[in-house]
Amino acid sequence: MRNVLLSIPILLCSTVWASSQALLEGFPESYAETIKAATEEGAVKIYTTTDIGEMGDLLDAFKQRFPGISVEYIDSGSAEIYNKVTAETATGQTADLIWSSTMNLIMDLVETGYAAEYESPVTPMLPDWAKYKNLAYGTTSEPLVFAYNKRLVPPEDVPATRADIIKLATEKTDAYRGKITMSAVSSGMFGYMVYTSELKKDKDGTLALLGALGKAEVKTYNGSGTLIEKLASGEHVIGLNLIGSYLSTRQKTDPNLGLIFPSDYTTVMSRVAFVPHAAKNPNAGRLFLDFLLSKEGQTLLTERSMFPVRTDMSADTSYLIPGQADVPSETFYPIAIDTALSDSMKPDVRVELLDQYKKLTGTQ
Amino acid sequence: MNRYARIMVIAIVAVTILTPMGLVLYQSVLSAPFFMPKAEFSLYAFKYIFTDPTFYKALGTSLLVAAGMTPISVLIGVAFAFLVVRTDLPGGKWIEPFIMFPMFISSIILAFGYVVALGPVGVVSLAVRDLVGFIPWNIYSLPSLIIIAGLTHVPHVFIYASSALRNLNSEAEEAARTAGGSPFRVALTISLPMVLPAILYSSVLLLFLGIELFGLPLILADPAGAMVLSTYLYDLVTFLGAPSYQLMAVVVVVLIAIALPLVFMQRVLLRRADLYVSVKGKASQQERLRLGVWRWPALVVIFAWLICSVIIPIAALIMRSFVTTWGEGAVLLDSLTLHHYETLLRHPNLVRGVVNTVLIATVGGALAVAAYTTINLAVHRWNSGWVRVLDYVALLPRAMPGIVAGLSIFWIFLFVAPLRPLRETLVSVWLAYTMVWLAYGIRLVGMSLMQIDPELQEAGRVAGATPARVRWTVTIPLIRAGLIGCWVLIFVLFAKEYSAGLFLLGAGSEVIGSMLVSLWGTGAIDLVTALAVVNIAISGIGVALMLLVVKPTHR
Repeated sequence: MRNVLLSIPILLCSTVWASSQALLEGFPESYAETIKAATEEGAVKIYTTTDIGEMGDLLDAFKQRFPGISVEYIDSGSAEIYNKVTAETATGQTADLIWSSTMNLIMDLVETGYAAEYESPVTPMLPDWAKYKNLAYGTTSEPLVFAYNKRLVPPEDVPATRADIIKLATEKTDAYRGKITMSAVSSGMFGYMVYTSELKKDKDGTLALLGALGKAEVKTYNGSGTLIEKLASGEHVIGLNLIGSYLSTRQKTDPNLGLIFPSDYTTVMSRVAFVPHAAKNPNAGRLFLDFLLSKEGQTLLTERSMFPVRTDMSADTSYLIPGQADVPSETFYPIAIDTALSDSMKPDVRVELLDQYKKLTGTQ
Repeated sequence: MNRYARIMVIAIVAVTILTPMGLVLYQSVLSAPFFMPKAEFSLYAFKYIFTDPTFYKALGTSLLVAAGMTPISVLIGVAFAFLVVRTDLPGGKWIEPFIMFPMFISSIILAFGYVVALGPVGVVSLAVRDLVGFIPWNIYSLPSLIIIAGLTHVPHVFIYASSALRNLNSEAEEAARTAGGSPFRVALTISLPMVLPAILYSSVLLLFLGIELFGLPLILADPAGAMVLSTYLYDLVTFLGAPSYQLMAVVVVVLIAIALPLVFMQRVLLRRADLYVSVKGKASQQERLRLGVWRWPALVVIFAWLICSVIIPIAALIMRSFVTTWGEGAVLLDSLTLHHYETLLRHPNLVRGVVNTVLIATVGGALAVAAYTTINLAVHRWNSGWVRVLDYVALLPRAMPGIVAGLSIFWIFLFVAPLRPLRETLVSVWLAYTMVWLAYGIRLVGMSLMQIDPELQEAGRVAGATPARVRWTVTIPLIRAGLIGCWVLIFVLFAKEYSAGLFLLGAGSEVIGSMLVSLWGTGAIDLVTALAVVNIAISGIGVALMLLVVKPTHR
């Protein structure tokens, strides 16, 4: 892995050397037209939840390859993106690419008709779960992990499965009361997405887990920042379903955070992108999307622990959890980009599912 | 200013404020976002909110928090203002900037500082636990929230009270002191009644701030426990899936319904209070009241507050920005690092964020003060119904929680076609900031104006100057020191503000506040703390520089 990583900059330099306008690897000749049209548009505007701090290298690579296209990269919360896209579309013009980790909110936009159809040349290389009707594409595959505080969780308590968590919460309730944490379900779209997806995967198991967590007075937060901080400091000691890439960044400075791929199944989420039909520069939007999906883009994302979604690239997870390279990929359960996500956003469905959640966990 | 110019200014202010406000009201009676074709008239949102038990609980908690924190802040703020401005408190001049410190930091960051210090595994908490065996407080409780909110809002009262006290003639106090009254007696029976209008004004403002409190309860309220109106609103926006603006709009209508009677009450009280105030600022030398034996105890009280409200949270925050880990079982000395600052330096938006923040705080702040001054001159010593309109209108933006204000201003810039090109520039961000801090700014400038004896302006008129000339050569120079003081405060407020401009920020117009939000979302608290320290440093340096520049010319 290390060698592969070291060779990336060299590869990059040589491709740039050859031709700055060269086609992306594996793209058909006809793609030159898209590049030409995008270059004529001259700019691309992206609304995303991915912090620009994680994207420096990728943006540089894009600019180097397509110097004629200026990039306006605007990172914010998923609700802000939703608000902006809906309101701006009403005036006729919005960003050229929407790219967000809140898959359900994005699919809600797609199903309401905000996305324009586009068949990416990368489509054949994407798994079925990561594409939806030529409208929306998954660009990463990011396992959601358990995390624990190594200082405070004794080795025998470190959970490997959801069943282990249920056991801790029911048999050692006093020790773990208020000590387990996860993303907020009712006030946060991300937590809600995980909840509905795991219900779909294993209904009884998820209900049992939430019931046990309720007994142990699970604490929930909106936003990864609070959650990770409270795990690292020991206010809570075990966290469920956290985005691995965020944790691995933190783990580099704070080795006290332990990461686990749950071995019963590991939910995998993806940052979903679509080109809005009200995009000002649709070709530039498509080009950026394809760049994200190109081998070059996927490699650059991998360096930030956002693993490739392409079937012809392997997600080397050792980067995320050293020493746990060989996680059987059968245990990976990707959240499919389909109507189940948008259906879960329908008001009556949501109210019912949230009622069930609140009853189980006894939270607000 | 002639009558028409005055009315013009008031009309511009009213339109600027009432348009986004009206949009929110309109949204509250629609079935869908107003810009969607399927939106139609519906009272569903009202029905939903008014039958939701959680709403009443949140409303009750909000009122309780507001009613609890206001007396704490007012009591401490007024007492400190009196001590610093009117007495021979040791080091009074040096203490003043420190009292303003809690204003330098956005409340989410401040609350986070408290968690690092006093939370269940906080640095101070663990030290106390090692000493006495248990942690005697629970930071995630309603009383903690009220006390912390009360303590950290002291500066908001202090500004108004100290400014009012500064404008008082000290003869009455002197007389009382000479007649044998103790410092406390003098403060209570002479000084206090004279600054009652300022106290009332800040009390009402504080009730507002208490009701729309967001950052502190977001971090400090137990996730499973108390919800306040703004956190309820925050949850509500996403409750039905896609953001439901109509529900959010109804909550704002409720907030306005609470705000209007408060403004009315404030006006009535002010009218009555004005009767007591016979001595208004003449530029006579003030004599400081001698505290005698109370000098040092008073200083100790101020230091105790400084420790609780400034030093503890900010020191914790600074410490957090230099360690890799903290909390239960962590050894801080082994965790020291500069890594967070190094990573921050590589953040692509850092330089732009800092430059934009400094720009909007300095230049933007000065322009805002100019706008507030114009508005004040328009109503200065003018007895008219229009002035009453302004009084109500100016406070309205404060009744909108930050996220709603930000959203409605975004809509205006988006749907009013001539404004659209300005949308993702610092201009729109500036307008948003200026608007949400309007009530604050107008009052700040107004207090400087009130201290000018009308005789001076009349003298100018008698000597043959036009009203415009009087304004430029008499009024404005006289309030220049006051205006620079306002600029310092607006600078601090603008340097930490972000929610009002959240939807207006494009690539290139990022500010530190928006970067903090984005980083917080990705869990990069390491960078958040480092950036927050940078933000505090900018405010601190800015204030210090401004005070240094002001001093030689005006004292």
